[in-house]
Formats: sequence, structure tokens, C-alpha cells
Amino acid sequence: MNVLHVIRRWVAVPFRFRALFWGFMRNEIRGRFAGSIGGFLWSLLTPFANLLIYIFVFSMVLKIRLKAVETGTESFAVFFLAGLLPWGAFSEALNSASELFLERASLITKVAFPLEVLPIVGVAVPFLLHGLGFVMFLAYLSFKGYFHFIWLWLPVVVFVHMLFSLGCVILISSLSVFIRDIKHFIGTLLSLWFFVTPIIYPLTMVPEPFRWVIKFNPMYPFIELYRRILLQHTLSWEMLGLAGLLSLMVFVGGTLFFGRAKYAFADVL
Amino acid sequence: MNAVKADNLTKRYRVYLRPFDRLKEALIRRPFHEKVEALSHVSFEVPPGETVGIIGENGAGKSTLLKILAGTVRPTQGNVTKQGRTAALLELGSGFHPEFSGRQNIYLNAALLGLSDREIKDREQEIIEFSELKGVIDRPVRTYSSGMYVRLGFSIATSVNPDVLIIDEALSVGDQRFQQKCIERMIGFRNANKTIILCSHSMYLIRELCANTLWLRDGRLCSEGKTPEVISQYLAYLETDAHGKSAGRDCSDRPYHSEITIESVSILDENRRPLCDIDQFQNVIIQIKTQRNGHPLKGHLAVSIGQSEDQPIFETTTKICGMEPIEFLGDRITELFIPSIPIQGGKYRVRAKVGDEFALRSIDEMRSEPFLIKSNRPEIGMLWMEHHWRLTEAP
Repeated sequence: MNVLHVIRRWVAVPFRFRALFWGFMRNEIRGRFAGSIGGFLWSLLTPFANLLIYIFVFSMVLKIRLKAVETGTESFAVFFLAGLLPWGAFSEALNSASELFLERASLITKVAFPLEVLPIVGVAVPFLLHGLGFVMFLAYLSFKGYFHFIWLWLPVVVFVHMLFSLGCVILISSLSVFIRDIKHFIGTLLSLWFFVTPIIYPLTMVPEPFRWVIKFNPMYPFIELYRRILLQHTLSWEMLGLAGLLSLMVFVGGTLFFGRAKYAFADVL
Repeated sequence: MNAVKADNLTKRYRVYLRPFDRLKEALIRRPFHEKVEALSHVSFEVPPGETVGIIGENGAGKSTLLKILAGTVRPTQGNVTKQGRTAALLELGSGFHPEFSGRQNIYLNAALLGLSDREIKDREQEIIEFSELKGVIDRPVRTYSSGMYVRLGFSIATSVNPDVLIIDEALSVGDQRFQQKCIERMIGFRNANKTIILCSHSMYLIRELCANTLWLRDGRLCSEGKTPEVISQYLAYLETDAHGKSAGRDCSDRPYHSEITIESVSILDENRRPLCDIDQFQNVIIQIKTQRNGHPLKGHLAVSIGQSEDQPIFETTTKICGMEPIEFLGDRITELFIPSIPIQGGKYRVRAKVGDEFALRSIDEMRSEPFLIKSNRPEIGMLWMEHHWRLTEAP
């Protein structure tokens, strides 16, 4: 019951404190482009350049070959993007999580406002920006004839994925207040995590003895869910259940920790 | 019902020398911190519509108290209850994004204070007008001067129209004219029966705005009551604390064999009863006992009243008053009558000096115990003077 109450409180925040939520959202999004000439262009150009590099290295130099039977597509770019976009949103949210409270120390100690807004915005912004890319990707897939009604399940997957990310962000951001070292290794952790998640390679390319490592990876079910829905047009209930359970655990763990720790924030910051 | 009620507030901070100690403590559950009590057992009540000042030295716990009242910091013990919408101005313009324009910053900042989008939109114009930043409101805030920054912050914070306004030293920046505007706005709040809690080092501001005042000292509520009284007590405390000297004479200063010694300096009322607290405009007698051994010696007496030695408020001598030199022999009592003492509230001392018959050479001197003058007058300064205002039309 207590847990349900906590979840309800969190979910209600963007609605109850609408002005505050959108104020932070606007600030965050605007803040990325403020003062630069290229503005919004950069947010497209940088991932696009990265994408080209990956495609060049893995598809042309290392010649990763995909079998349509296993992955639903033979195009490396399509396969890669289907994993990269969800991963990108997640990793960007985590990357900024360690600074979420720290860089607003003066605000938190001087103004009383619902701190829950910050992690929510911290997740919503990267999901929104990657969401734009994702929508373009969906349009491209439809154009290529990949559309299927099972895509209607995507919002559910995105929601579960966001819940998982939010849980992680809440945990990391509140822990960072007490342990400031976190921000130094979160970047390294994320790049390691990227390579042990089957994003640039299909699971089938991993030698059998190592596959369990990857299956233990909490991001694996999410990437797999997205890919199967988008490219193979199947919904893995097993994966969805796993992902849902995982998200709930991380989210509840995060919110419970946050609920206890938030009163100490102003003392520590 | 009280607008603000603080019940037994205590705040202990754990001070860790290194952040790692905090982690160590959490893991092996042995204390690695020192406790610092920033606030201990502070209770008070503020009825609606009242304006309360908080004074105290640096580190007395004022900021901690305000943060607890504002709700950013949780007390270790005790609790606060507040009625109605509260706005706290602990730091003006905190949360401004330097790259965004003033107008854009209004939105987030007002939302932080609890305004809805619609309310913000309605008040945007008023905020800009009050801040007098119309011409530059669309420029990035990083191009603003610190005064402009604060003006925008103050305008946003007070546009919230709170029931309880908590202000920390917020008006110390900004030019004279804008400060005046801020004070006027706060007086407006006060007249609209809003509750204001104001913390400041400016006794002028506190006197101007607050009917009652709390004095915090080392985290404790040292005194509370009517503003003029608390301020006099506080100033008196600062005075004795700064000089840290007790009454009497410094042995080193005293000539080895005084030809005349001052035995005591006391402050008495009309009936020659000793006084510790003096009401302003009371009749006062300053009594000086002197002793002279051997043959008679002529000399003059001087009496000065003040807070610090080098700047007496008033000094007079028997010579100035046109008296013949006094002949000192044996024990002698000299009294100075001051009818209706006009000195304003605060802690003062009397210094008596005896000099030679030409009032040139000092023979002995002594300071009285400090005494307190209590004043109900709202005027500012050291002396109360007869005065009246007159308005004349320009020709």
C-alpha cells in the first residue's frame, strides 16, 4: 500500500506541479541549445555522425552480417538504430543524473519545491529528444514496409523503459549527493554497459558460454523488446514481464531511498 | 490561529571532515562526525498580520531558522506549522539560468515559488514593470548587473502575493531608490495584513518594518518582544562583547600613588537608589566618591557618557560649568544631576575623571558598571531631540 502511494505521488508530480514541470522542461531543452549558433542542429548532427562511424566500422570494416531469420532485417543501420535510440535515451538520462541535484545545490537549499520534479525532468528530456529521432525512425521503417499493428505495443514498452530509467536516475542522483565520486565513473560504466548490451551486435554472435552475462544485463530485455516489436513483429511476454518486474523493483527501490534521503539533501548540499 | 508557529526547533548538523567519512559511517556504523548545534529549542508564534524581525550575530542560527521556516531544511527536532501560501526570499534570483532572458527566467522562477502558468502569465507584466527592466527583459540574464538580477528576483518573489513572506537580508543589494521601493512593497504587505518574517543586520530596516523582534544568540532564542527593546538589548550586548572589559579600572592604567583617587562611580535615581536600568527621560544622578589623603588638593571633575571611550555622547566638567576648583580632602561625594536623560536605548557607561586645578593633567579615572537605557521612542540615533516637522509649499 505504501509502495502504491509512493508511485502515485511520483506519477502525479508532472500534473500537480504542471507549471514547475514544464518550466524545468523548457529550461532543460532550451539550455542545451542556448548560446550556440547551430542550436537544435547539433542535437541531430552529433548522433548522426556517431551513427555513421558505427555503421562504417561495424558494417563495412568488421563486416557484421545479419540474418533476417534471426533479427528481422539484413540492414545493419536499421538493426543498430532500433537498439541505439532506446539505449541513447537511457544512457543520456543516467549520464546527467549524477549532477541533477548537485548542480542545483543553491536552488535546493534556498527554495522549497518538490524535488521529485528534477529526476522526472531528467528522464523526460532525453526521452523526448530521442523520441523525436525514434518517430523519424518509425517513419523510415514504415516507408520501408516494416509497419505492423504490433507497434501499438510500443507505448507500453516505452513507459516501462522510462520507469526503469527513472528508477535508475533517482538512485544515482540521490546517491551522488552523498558520494560525489559517482559522476566520475558513471561515464565509464555507461560505455562498458553499451558494449555488453547487444546493440551493435545480435545476441547470436556472442559465443554461447558468454551469453548468460548479457542476459543478466538489465538493459537486455528492453533492447530485445524494441527490436522484436519493430523488426520481427513479435511481442515477447517473457521479456515484457521481466522488464516490468525489473523496472518496478528499481523504481520502488529508488523512490524509497529518495524518500528517506531527500530530507538530508539540503544539509549535505 | 497563528500564521507561523515554531515549536521547539532544534537543528543539529553532522560535520564530516571528508565526504568519505559519511560513507564510512554509513557502512561500519561508527560515528565519524562532529555534531554542531545550529539551533536549539527555539519556539515562537507569529499571529497573522504580524511582522517579525530576526536579529543576531553571524552564525547565530538565523539562516538555519529561516531555511527551516521556508521548508528547505528539516529540523532535527520540533516542527513548524504555517498557514497559507508561503514565499521565501532566502536568496534572490537563485535558479536563474544565465543564458536565458529575463522573461524566460520569470516563468521557471515563479513556478518554483508555486505559481501556476496562468497566474504567471497574468503577473508577467507587473513583474517586469516593478523590476524596471522593461528595456532589457529579453536579454540573457548573464548580461545583467547584480542589481538588476536582484531586482528581477525580488519582483518575482513578491508578485506571488504570499500570506507569509520570509525574507533573508534580501534587500542589501540594489540601489537606494530600489531598496526604498522594496521597503514600500513590504509595508504594503504589512498593511494588507500579511505575515512577514524578516532577518536582517540592518537595525534600521527591522525598526522600520517589524513590531516584534526575535534575537538569536548561539542558536538560542535570547530575547523576544517589542522591537525597540530587543534592539537595545542586542546593541548593548554587542557593545560589551566587543570591548569585553568589566567595570572598574585597569590596574595598569592607574598611577601608582594617586594624589586623588576615585573610589566609585554610581548611577542613582532621584531618591539616590542605585539604578541598573534607566528609562529614557528619567532623572538621573551620577555620584562620584573620591578620596584624598594628606593635605587638601584642588582639582576638577569630568564626567562623560558613551558607548566607546573615544567617542562620548556627552562630556562635561566642573571647569566648563564655571565652577571653582574643588578642594579634595578625605572622602568626598560629588554628584552630577541630569534631569530627563535624553539618550536613546542601549548600553552605556559613565566615565569619571579627576584632573588638576587647571583641568589639564589627569590624576585618576574610573568607569562605571555598564547600564542599560530603555527607550520606547521609535526614532533612530543616540539622542532623542525635540523636533517637529513642517511642510511648506514651494513658492
